[in-house]
Amino acid sequence: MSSLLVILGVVTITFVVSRLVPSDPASLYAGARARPAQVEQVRQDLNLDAPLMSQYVSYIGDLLRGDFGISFATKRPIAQDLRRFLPATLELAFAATALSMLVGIPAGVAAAARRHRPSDTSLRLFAVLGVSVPVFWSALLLQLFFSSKLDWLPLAGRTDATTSFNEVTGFFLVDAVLSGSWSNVADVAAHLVLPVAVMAAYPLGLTIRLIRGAMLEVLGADYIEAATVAQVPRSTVLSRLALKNSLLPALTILGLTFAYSVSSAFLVEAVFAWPGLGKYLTDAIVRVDFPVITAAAMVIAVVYVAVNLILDLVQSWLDPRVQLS
Amino acid sequence: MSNANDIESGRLDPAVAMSVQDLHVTFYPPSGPVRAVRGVSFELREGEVLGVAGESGCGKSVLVRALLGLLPATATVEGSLELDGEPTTLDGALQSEAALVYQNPGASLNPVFTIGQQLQFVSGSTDPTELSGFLLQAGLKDPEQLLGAYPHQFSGGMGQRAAVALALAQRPRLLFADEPTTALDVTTQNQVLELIAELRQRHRLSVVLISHDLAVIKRVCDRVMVLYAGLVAETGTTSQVLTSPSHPYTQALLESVPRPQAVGKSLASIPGMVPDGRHEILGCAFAPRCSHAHDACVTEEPAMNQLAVGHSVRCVLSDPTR
Ligand SMILES: Nc1ncnc2c1ncn2[C@@H]1O[C@H](COP(=O)(O)OP(=O)(O)OP(=O)(O)O)[C@@H](O)[C@H]1O
Ligand SMILES: [Mg+2]
Repeated sequence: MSSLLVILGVVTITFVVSRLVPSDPASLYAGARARPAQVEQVRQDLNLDAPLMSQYVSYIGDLLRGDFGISFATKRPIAQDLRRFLPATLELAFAATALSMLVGIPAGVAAAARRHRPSDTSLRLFAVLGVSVPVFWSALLLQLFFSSKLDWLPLAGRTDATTSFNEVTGFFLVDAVLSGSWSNVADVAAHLVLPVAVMAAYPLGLTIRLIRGAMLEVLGADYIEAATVAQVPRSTVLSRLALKNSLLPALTILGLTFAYSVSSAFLVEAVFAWPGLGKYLTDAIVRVDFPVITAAAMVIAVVYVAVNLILDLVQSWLDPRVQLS
Repeated sequence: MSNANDIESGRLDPAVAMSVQDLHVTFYPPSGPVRAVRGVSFELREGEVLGVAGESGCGKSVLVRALLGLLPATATVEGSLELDGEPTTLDGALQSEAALVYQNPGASLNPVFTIGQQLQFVSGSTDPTELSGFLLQAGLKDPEQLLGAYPHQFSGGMGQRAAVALALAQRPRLLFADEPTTALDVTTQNQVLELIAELRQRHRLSVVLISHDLAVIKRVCDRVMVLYAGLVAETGTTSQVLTSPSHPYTQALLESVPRPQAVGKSLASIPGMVPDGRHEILGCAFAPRCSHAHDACVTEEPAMNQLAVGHSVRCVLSDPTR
């Protein structure tokens, strides 16, 4: 319920901003060299001379039907663009988050279990590097090494120019699998490696640090010592008894970094020529393409709200003391 | 409830389950070494409840944790331990025979697993009847239903019973209980003490019960060991120590009114504080606070003097050679 309100709030704010900030949306749409008659025509077509309130109502009606309007710059329906660009970014963000969880959680547990030993120290160093090295720099470095020098991985893009398959979901890895050709899958996967690695660095470093810290705290608890006395195997103590307590704080942050990586993907997408939401949005910002900016803001808000909903569910599943309201 | 009289009169003479000789524990924090236990020896007989008394900081918890091998690697533990006459290492080997119950059930139960799951981890059994049997033995009603409950749904008394059930699920021979009733209100306190007494009887558990509260010790313990500054000040059967205390420290402890709020503070009726183990102690550790202290007390550490069978005191006043 409150999440619906958040989305409505974002919709309202973006609506107000998009109608009030540009001095005249119609002339923006029509272009700088349009004649007054053309601008008037656009005003009619886009219903811009109607009262603000009725514009707002029809705007929400359009949104509910999945109609995000038309881009000022390209004159293409935004919904159609989003269907192409959003999956590209989500694919990166999902893969990066999955990677940070699959690697970061065991690494954090291992670091806590080997506190102050060399393996812990190197994991912590790695974690610090992960959260502190700027994305564009690590991206360029990886490109230079793995593509230009070693030629192991493609430099940029989502696929080779020669690769083609049906874009069913927009998630290329899924589409490639659906195409039934392993060479398609291998090509898509190879293109994912570097951008995903770059995007995962920050959440991975964060996960290692958070899990390690939470584990160290939990490992000092009486109930863990009691389990030790009860001769519960150390591996069970670490991977089950202590980990479940430590996951809560880490997953909360990880969920937010997922949402954040969707909204901040533009750096990675720029370096890797990745046709995603970030690139779409930055192009729109440069061109003052208000309908696109509004739509992107809304999509990002929905991602945040969805992530928070999922986090609430996971939290109540992990911690019996948390009651779902 | 107490078997003290039986043991005293020699009618019962169970085998020694655990024997500890000359246990020393030293911590090495940056501020300098802390000698928390300075040479403690005692025996625990089968089916016996041994009370460990003494003010906060005198080394009760450290003693038990050293025996169980639970101290951090930065602490040194010296001394010898025997189980049924067999030498045993102090590196945690005792854990296979012993269970530990803590002061605060809220901290000793894992908040994110049901009681049933925790019993399962500890016992290795998945049989619900067996698992609820442990709860039943700990005096919990509706055990089948409680298996699915989380610790936060328990009251303090129920939580402590659940902690006891977890201990029982380890099928221990030795039970260490570190202030198991201190966090509970008086009524639940009594119930948990009765439970411990009953378990000792039914399972022939040997129990080490730590408590700063002599009233608690009097209720369930067969024998008492009074610790002061990491040393045994006085030891004997409960009636020997509590009805004819011979160490001025034991006497002072008995005179002080035990109040639940006094946990962690120095007892009101004994002036001064427990020495903190950081400084070398010359003579009797209690001398600075002792109303009977004289010159000899500050120069030489008193030896253990036996007053009667099983009753020993570390005090020059009880030295027969003087
Ligand atoms: N990890 C540690 N590092 C340094 N000193 C310690 C450590 N653990 C305990 N000590 C010291 O050992 C001494 C004995 O502590 P212990 O916890 O055994 O006291 P206690 O008799 O159990 O007291 P309480 O009634 O408060 O539980 C104290 O002086 C304490 O400061
Ligand atoms: Mg203690």
